[in-house]
Amino acid sequence: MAEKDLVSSQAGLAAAISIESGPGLGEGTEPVRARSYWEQVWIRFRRDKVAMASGFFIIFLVLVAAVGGPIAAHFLRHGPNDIFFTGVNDDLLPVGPWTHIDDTLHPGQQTLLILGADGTLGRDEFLRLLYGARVSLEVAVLSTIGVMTIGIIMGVVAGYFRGWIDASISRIIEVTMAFPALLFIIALAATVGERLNNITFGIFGKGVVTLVLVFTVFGWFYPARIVRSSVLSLREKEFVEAARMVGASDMRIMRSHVLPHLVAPIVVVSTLIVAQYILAEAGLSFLGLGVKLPTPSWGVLLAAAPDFYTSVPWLMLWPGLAVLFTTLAFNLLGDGLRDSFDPRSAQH
Amino acid sequence: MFQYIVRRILWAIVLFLTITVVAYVIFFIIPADPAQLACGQRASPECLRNATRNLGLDKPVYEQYGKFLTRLVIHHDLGKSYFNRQSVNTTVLNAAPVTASLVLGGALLWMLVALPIGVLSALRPRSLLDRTSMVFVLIGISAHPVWIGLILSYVVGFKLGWTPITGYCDFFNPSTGCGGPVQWAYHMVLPWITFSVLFAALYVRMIRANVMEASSEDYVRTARAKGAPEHVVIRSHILRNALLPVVTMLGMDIGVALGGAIFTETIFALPGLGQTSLSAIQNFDLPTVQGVVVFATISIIVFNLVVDLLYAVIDPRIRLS
Repeated sequence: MAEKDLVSSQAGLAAAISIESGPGLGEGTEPVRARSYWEQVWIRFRRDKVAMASGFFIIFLVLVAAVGGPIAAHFLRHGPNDIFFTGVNDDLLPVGPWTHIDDTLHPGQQTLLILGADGTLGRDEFLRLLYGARVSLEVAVLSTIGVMTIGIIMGVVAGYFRGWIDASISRIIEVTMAFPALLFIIALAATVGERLNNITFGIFGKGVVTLVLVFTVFGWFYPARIVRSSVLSLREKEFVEAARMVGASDMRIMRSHVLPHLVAPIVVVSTLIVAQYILAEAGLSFLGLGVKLPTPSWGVLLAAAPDFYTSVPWLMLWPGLAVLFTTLAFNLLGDGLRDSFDPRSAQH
Repeated sequence: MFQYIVRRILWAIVLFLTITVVAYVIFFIIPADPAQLACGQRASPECLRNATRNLGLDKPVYEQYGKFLTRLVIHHDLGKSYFNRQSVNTTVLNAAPVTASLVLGGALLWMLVALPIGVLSALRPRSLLDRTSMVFVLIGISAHPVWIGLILSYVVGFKLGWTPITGYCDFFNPSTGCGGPVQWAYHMVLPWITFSVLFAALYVRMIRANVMEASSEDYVRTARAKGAPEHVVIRSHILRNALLPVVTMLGMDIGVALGGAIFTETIFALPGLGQTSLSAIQNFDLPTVQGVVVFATISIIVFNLVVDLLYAVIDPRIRLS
């Protein structure tokens, strides 16, 4: 009873103050406007200079990957797979950066190799780097979509239904985690890769589909675990109870009440996973198990570099730097997004 | 405690069975015709017939797998190479020490780097050390390990000439031109560094986060409030709790790292398991690839089991539950 009095006396105090100071108190100041969740996230994100810069870099990169190659090829008047015997010097080494060579496609004219030639075949390293961006991003983004799709479905189902469904999905996750993934990826690339590599759907390079499938099969457990643990706590929330009470089906609750709360972790994890798969593509193509020649990718370009390792060291510099900046941008963007979605995480 | 151990061992057996089934399917069911591979390009019908019989391809699939499993578990036999008819056991046992020295040496190096840096930068957040190490962490997780290896071997090995660029020297056996612990370590310096950059970065970040989280716990405040000296608080209250998960992570990551060793082995021409499996793939030598995969899997399972059991010993909370 005493407690109730105390509360009501405090409420009365506020009322008293507002009566004393009159309605003029709020005049002159702008009306307070409620900011939506996304507005707040955007405001926090905009303040993060590093994350903004990374975002712009990624947009630029996507543009380069989409149209940069064809535009450059138009102006240079040759393609990424055109072979120039003039791109090799007398020591049988690829010519260096910014070299004008005789254009064998247009006799009597000269053409420019901005970053030099890519190897003994004398292809344009610069164009291959631009077209390689497309292939590397294709693999990374498609793998991320595959991994996230399976991961989200498995995670939501396991976390929402619990019981034996959760138990069996969790066991599958544990088994997948225990697999020496890289060894199995190599094994798969060696046995089924030969046949899968020919599936290109007419738009992808040879090997892209293989990489995406293999990465998806061995990578989905990571998002699945994150999603599952979030859903386990989300399903106990009052709004889920309320939705169930008014008769919403499980499917509807998962889709309209649980999934929207997962957007933040999904966006952050996807960004970080893209960075992982850019590295993974480069790694497997370096070993000769990923994207197949003549399709250029950053891994394929990196794989060619050790042949000219002592004489033309810059050949390993370009693809390596491309991979470094891209993964760096995705990692920084992911960190920035995480801090914007959840400001408490930024305190660490 | 006893129940925990039994559960872990049973789980390890389940894992082993699952992984060998998958490995078996990938290697002997999916490829069009193992007999064709075993006999080579221009196979005589006689060879094909013999191979089909010897490999047991005329039997049902589960029987083939059963035979494979019995051979593996009871005779510890991984089969014979299609390529040079050598026993896969010999090949794997020759390559395993190379990979082991790379992985274990690399793990030691990354822990030596990550422990002090991670702990110090967590205790002094936003200090110069913390900021510098965070920059290196970002570069470490973003740069490709292959690229780091190439750059290191170019700059340190080729330009400066401080270390050998490629090759491996046996630790014990000086018969192969070079040998002994000194030459071994000298040849392994660059591979170890290359191998550990990524993991050192990941571990600095993880240790830092763990230590920071433990520092903000209530029991740390209580310890300080009751007047415990700072070094006791750090050692017994913060580090003990923060570093326990690192042991589990280490156990799991050494398994992952076994795969990552393939890249380092390729760059520095180390004749380890990764190199062996890669060259076997190029020769379509399925038994050898499979041997490496099975061997690596068993090592990973055993390693994780040991770590889990060790964890139960050092963390009383697991023993009691």
